[in-house]
Amino acid sequence: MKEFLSVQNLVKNYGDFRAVDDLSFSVNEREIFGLLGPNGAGKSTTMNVITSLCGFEKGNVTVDGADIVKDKEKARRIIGMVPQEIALYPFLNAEENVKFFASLYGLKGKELNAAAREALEFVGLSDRAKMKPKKMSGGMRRRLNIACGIAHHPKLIIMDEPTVGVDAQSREHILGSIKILRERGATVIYTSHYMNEVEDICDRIAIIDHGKFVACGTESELISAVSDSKVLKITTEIRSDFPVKELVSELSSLPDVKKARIEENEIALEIGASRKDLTLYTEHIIKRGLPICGITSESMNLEDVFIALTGRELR
Amino acid sequence: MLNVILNEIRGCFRSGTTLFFSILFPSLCTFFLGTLLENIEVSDDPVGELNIAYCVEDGGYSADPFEEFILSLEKENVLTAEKVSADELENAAEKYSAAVKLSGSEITIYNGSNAVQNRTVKALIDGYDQTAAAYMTVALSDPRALAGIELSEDSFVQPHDFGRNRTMMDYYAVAMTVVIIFFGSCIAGVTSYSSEYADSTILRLNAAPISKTVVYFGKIVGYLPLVLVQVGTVMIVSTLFFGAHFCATFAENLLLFVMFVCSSLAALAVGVMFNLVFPKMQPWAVLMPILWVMLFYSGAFQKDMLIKGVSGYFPPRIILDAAFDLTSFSRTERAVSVIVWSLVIFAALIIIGCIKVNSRRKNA
Repeated sequence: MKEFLSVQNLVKNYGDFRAVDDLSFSVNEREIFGLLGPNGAGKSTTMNVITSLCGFEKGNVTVDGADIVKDKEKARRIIGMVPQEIALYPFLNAEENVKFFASLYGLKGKELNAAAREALEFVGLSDRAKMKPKKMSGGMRRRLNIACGIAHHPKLIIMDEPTVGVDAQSREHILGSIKILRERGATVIYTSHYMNEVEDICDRIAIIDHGKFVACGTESELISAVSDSKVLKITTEIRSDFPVKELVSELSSLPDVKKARIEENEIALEIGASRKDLTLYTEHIIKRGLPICGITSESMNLEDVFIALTGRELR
Repeated sequence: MLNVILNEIRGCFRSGTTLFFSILFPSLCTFFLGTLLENIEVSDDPVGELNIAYCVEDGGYSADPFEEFILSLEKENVLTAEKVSADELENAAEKYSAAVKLSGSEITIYNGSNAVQNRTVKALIDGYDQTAAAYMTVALSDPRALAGIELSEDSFVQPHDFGRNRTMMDYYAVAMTVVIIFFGSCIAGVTSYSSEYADSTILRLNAAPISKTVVYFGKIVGYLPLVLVQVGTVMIVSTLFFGAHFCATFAENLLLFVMFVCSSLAALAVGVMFNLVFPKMQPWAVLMPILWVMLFYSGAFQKDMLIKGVSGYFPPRIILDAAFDLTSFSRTERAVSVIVWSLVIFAALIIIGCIKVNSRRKNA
């Protein structure tokens, strides 16, 4: 797959504070790349550097081969930005907003009209083209915010928390739209506080903290990098005179079991993530005269990975 | 750049607040202040140096005493006086504090521009008139006491101006145009970038493949129509609907309009520069009090509200003086000076602003 965005040894300081510390990564063409990090981790600064909103001290950033410093205009033409803030003119209606921002990228005349119509249709606002932002719902404004960032058909779209404060329906629409953008050939860099969104749409995810990458890879790669186990929870009915400690000891000695514990009517087994066949454990429990009332298997999710790697929750 | 300019124009003319405060409000102020304060004329100004022109036209027996009276005032250093012909008298107000004409037994005073001096001259002539009347009374009651002096008819003093009478409506039509230069243009300049930050649209502008210089000039040029409309509206509405008078001729009115527009551009550039230097400072909290104080003590809201030795340096007062020079006396020197200085300030600030804009880096 072709490398579309390349960030090499990026350093950005604010006074004495180093916001981005020797960061290097690349994003492939037609990839949705998730950038996760707690507040102040450096992800917004990284995105601002890529979009030329701020300068940087060291490093090299290229977009589709264009250096963002030496070939600034070409690089900017390729990029579409959907900021976290609703960046719209209140005195312009939806269509005028889209047209104005698209016109900054050189679109004019019929081409501009067609691009604006297409962008509004894409975000499901073609029937609200003449409506001003202040009369729109939060979700509609978010969608218009996206339309303004994609109308000029950018090859690289940078989306900074585009679903903040929107209803479930609009969120679904936005996430679906991002996938369609990728199918149409766009490369997307996406940040969000919603882990399930990132899990849902991102091909690769990078976790950034203190201006550095903590981990980068697919979801399963990140999980396996942090933990190689999963938790099997078996619900049963344990009599008061049942020898609980004895059963815990027996279960702990079974293959691939790292840890076993019993709390009230629940048996929890931490087993190797690669273990597929669970009958060994259930058969042992049945042999000891306990019924199997329910079984659940819990793997680590991205949030667990994030906490494990950064020591902090995302919010 | 055209799309940025058009966007600014749309922003200006679609904002109800901008339209109200830039266009409607000054016109209403002109009407209300001009009407309500029509009869107020308070002044504590000193009389200053009185320099009058006088003319004796067919004075008859009153000529000598009248001339003697004027010369005695000059001798007492009350005033300086110069005898002129009747033809010269009509244009004397440009040169003198006032002019006085004796025609037969009738005295006419041609008022100058200073109300206090006008009242002083009238008081002096009234005094002479009363003395002359007393003389007549004595002459009538005891002619022997005034042997050798011919009796005269009753005389009277008739105040008369030069034909251009400046009303409060005229005053406030000019004053409110000056107010709008500062409240409209300057504040528009201040909000030019702060509104982009407030709406976060600055992010998109800065990320777009256009230079910051283009955005900057686009914004400045985009305000030009608003400047033209706001100055034009106040002048036209004041004239057509409220009966205010500006200048005597079309050429002078055009010069006045150009002066107001150039002043507005300078004020706009000052506002933009303020916004660039203090991007995070709330303009209303800082600039508005300064503008209010300057305008208030420049006589923009009440014509005698001036601080001696200070108000003369305030830009609104300088513009007001130039405007009144033009409207009342057709003097163009100050207006031209204001135009030149305004353009110099505008050009200088635009260049500095351009440099400033390009050196700015947004903190992420």
